[in-house]
Amino acid sequence: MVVSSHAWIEGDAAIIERSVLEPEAFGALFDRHAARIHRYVSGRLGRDAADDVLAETFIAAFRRRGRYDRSRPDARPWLYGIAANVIAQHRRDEVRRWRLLAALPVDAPVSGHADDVADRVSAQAVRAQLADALAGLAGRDRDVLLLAAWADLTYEEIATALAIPVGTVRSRLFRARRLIRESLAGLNPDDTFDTNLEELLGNG
Amino acid sequence: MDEMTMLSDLQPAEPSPAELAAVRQAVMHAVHVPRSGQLNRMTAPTWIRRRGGRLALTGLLVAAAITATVVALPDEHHGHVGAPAVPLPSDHHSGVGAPPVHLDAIAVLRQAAAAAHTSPDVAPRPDQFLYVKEGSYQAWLSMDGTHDGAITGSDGKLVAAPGCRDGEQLVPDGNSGPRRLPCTPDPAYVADAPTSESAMVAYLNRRFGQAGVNGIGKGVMSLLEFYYLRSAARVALFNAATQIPGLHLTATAAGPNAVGITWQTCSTGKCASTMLIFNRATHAYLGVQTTGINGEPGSSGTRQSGVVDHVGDRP
Repeated sequence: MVVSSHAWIEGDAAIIERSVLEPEAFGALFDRHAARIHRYVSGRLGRDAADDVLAETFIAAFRRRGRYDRSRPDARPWLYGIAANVIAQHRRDEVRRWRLLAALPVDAPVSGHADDVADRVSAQAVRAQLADALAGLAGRDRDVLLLAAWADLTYEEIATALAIPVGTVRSRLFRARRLIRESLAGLNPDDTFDTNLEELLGNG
Repeated sequence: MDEMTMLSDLQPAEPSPAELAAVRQAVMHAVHVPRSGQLNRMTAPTWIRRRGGRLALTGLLVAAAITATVVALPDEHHGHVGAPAVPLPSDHHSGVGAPPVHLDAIAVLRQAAAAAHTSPDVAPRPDQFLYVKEGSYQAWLSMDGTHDGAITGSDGKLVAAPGCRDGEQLVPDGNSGPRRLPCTPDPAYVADAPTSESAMVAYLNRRFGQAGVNGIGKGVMSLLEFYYLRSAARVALFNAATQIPGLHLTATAAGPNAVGITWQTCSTGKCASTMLIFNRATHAYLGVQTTGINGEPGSSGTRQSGVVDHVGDRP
C-alpha cells in the first residue's frame, strides 16, 4: 500500500477537501484511519462483519465528504460517528455476539502452575461477565462507553461523533460504567469500586 | 483494575494494511461508481472473502445498499444524509426531511470557496464605499454605514442612501424637506463575519432566518449581493452555502463559461428561485439571478463590484 508523503503533511480536513475534486485522494483518509476504525468495529461486531461495516463506513463518508466541516482538522469523530450509525443497524447482531461471548465455557486448564491457572480462569470469568454486562446496556450507552474505552475520544469528540451534548455523554458514560461495575462486583463481593462521581467523570 | 481497563483488554488487535487491502480496493472502486449505483459487472471486483472462503457482499450489493438505504448519520447541522434522487422544491430550510443535493453543486461551491482563498483581500476604510453594478442597477454602499451613499431607485435614477450617524438618518422627503429618523447603521463591510463554515451557518440563520424560511439561502444571497466580506469570510460563506437544501447545478443565460447553483424557497405552494452564477473555469462568483414566487424576474446578470473612495467612482 503506497501512502504518498503528501498525505502525511495534510490534515484530514485538507484531504477531504481535496477529495471533492480528486476522489482518489480519499484513499489517504482510509490509509490513515481504517485500521483503528476496523479494530473498533471488530470489537463490537466481530471480525467477519468488520470488513463489511468498515467499507460501508468509508463509502458513506465519501458520499458525505462535500459537507465535512473543514474547521475540524481531525476526522476521527466524524468517522467514528458514521461507524456507530452503521453498527446501530446491526444492533441485534452485536447483542447476540456479546451474549455468546458471555456464554462461552471457561477453557479447562491443560497444564501450568495453579496460580496461573487460577488467574486465567478468573480473567475469563471477568471477561464473560463483562460481555454479559455490555449486552445488557442500552445501545446508546454502549456507544458512548466503547467510544470512550476503545476510540480514545474526548467527551467533546464523542459528542461530535454522536451528535449529542457533552452533558449527555457524561451522563450516559456514568450510567454505563456504574452498571458495568455493579455487574462485575457480583463476581467478588469483596471487591470495592470507587464510586466517586467526579473521579469517574474526570477519568473518562 | 477498573472497568475501563478491562474493556480495553476486550478490544482486538488492529489489522495490518495487508489485511485491509481488499476492503480498501472495494472502497476505492465504489467511490468511482456513477451516482446511479450501477456497477460495470465486467470490472466490479469480487469483493471480500470472509474467513472460510465464502464470499461476502459483492461490490454491486454494497453500492446498491448505500444508494437504497437511508442511513441516519450524525451531522452537526442536519441529522440526515442525502441519497441520490431528483431534487424537489423544499418548503423548509431544516435539514431533517430536506431533499438531497447533487454532489456536483456542492463541488462547485467548494471550488468557489477555494477560489475565494486566493482572491485579493483588502480591509476597506470606514469612509469607503462598496460599489455594485448589476445590469442597470448601481449602488454605492457605505462601508461603515454612516456615510451617505447612493442607489438606483425604482425609476432608474440614482437616489441618496443616507448614512446613519448618532442614531439618526436624514431621509429626503419631497413634500416637507428632509426628515431625521431613528436608525441603526447597516455597514456594507461585515467586519465580524464568521470565518468557519459552522459559525457562518449559525450566523446566517440568526441574522437572516425566520421560522419556515431558508436563512442560509437568504443570507448567502444577501451577503454576496449587498455586503463586503474579507476572503476568509467569503470562503466560509461558500462552504456554508453547501448546506442549503435542494441545491442543483444548472446552465445559465450568462453563457457556456458560467455555471449556476440553484435552489428554491417555497411558501404556501409557491416557490421563488435563486441562482448563484460562477465562472466555470476560475470558479469566481459572477452574480445572482432570482425569480419571484409569481415567476417575475428579480435580480439578474453578472455583477461588478469593488471598493471605491467616493460616490460616483467606479473600480
